[in-house]
Amino acid sequence: MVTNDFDPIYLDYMATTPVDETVAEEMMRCLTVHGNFGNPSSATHLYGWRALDAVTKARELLADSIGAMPREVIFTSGATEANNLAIQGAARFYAKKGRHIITTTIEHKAVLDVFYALEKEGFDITLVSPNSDGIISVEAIADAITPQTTLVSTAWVNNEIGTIQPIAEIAALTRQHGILFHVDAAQAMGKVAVDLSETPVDLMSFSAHKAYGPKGSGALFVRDKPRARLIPLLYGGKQEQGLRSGTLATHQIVGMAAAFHRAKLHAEDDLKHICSLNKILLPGLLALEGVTLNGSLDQRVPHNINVCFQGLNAEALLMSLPQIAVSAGSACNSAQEEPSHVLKAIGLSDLQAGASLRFSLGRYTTEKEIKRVLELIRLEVQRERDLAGK
Amino acid sequence: MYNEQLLAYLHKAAAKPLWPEGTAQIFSSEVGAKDSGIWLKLCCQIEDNIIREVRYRVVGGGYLIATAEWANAFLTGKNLSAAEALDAKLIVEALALPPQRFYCAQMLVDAVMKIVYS
Repeated sequence: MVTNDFDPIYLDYMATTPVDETVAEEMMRCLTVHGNFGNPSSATHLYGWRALDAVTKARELLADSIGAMPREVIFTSGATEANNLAIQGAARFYAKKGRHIITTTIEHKAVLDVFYALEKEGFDITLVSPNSDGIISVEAIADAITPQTTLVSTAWVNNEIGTIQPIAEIAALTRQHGILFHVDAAQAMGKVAVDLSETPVDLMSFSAHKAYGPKGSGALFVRDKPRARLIPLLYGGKQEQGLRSGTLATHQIVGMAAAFHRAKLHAEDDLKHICSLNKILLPGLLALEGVTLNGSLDQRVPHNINVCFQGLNAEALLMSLPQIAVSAGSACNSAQEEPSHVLKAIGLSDLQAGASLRFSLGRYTTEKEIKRVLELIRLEVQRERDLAGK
Repeated sequence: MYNEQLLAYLHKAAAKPLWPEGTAQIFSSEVGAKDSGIWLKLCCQIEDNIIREVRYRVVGGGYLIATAEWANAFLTGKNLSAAEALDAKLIVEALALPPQRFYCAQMLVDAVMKIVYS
């Protein structure tokens, strides 16, 4: 993806992805005076009808991409809002039935902090720990379920270590107990096959910008049969079946649908490309002295390589390697000084967590870039080991 | 993000071999602990009260590495009185260290004072 020789090599695709060129073109058609700029809620004129038509088509396209019905798609401003709507909405709607909700210790803050906020409201929360590979076992979820439990929430693909959780098995368990199951699929779209007609998940959050769509656009899947009931967070124009008021952002919605459609259409080619890069980068990194992989080797998406440079400092590596754009911890967290809660949850010490970097590969990463990154890392790791007298 | 002078020192940092134990005119000090991930070993070659050369080893982040390299540039050629006058504020200003990294400056001052008073 290098645009000129001075730009750093971008290996932070799990933080965000560039918008696909064709997606951007479709979005542009919904913005200016020459395009489809109307308010989809304007029912009295052609501009509104055209915009509504674009949103309806986008909804159908997106639903088709995830194996859902169009009316099961609620557009939001991103996965954070979708997670909030799903968790707060469901917990509050079913509060009379029970006030116990379950998630895991390795969730994104957009899930964990919602749980903590609900705990302050008087809900009982249980955080299930993963094994040292970063995998949540179905048994651990089963053990946490009580007669008061109304909701289980977990990510499909972990944003920091890329591990894939056993969603189908957890969904079968929650269905058996009559408990709602919410999945944060922000990192899953375009990386694993998402088919909600096959998986009995009740609520699923999506983000456009992790899959070559625009930032500020997301969706919540709300299953129709059996209907998952939610109390909305936003009140106003009663858009999105009253679950999410606010003028629909036509260009964002069209962009997300186009990006998801493209992701599904080219899933096989994309995966092949990423796997070929992973096969160079992962062994290359692990061949360096004192480098270990964080999280499962098998149950992870090939897009993510999170490694610990034992005895070194990830921040020093990042500062010394301006030619590479990678992440220490998750990007949403990197302003904080705290070691990653995900890495600590899988058993890493503060020092090991502080010595870890996340490389994430994407559609525009090239083999040449990966080889260059390996060489740069090898030299810098050697220099810092020398500086440390090791 | 990281400021230019800090990055310049960080990129310049090189692990010159330390002098063998017992070498004449070599004075060294250590602060921090390797095991806790934050450690600085400073070695100075001192002749006629003048610091002729500085070498070091660092375990820690880029800020500490840059601070050690800055010490190399600052102390070389200075007499011990000038070294004794070194204070953390000067280092913080020279490298524009953010508040959460002030400890790097203090570690360097501690290491230098241990040598000055040894």
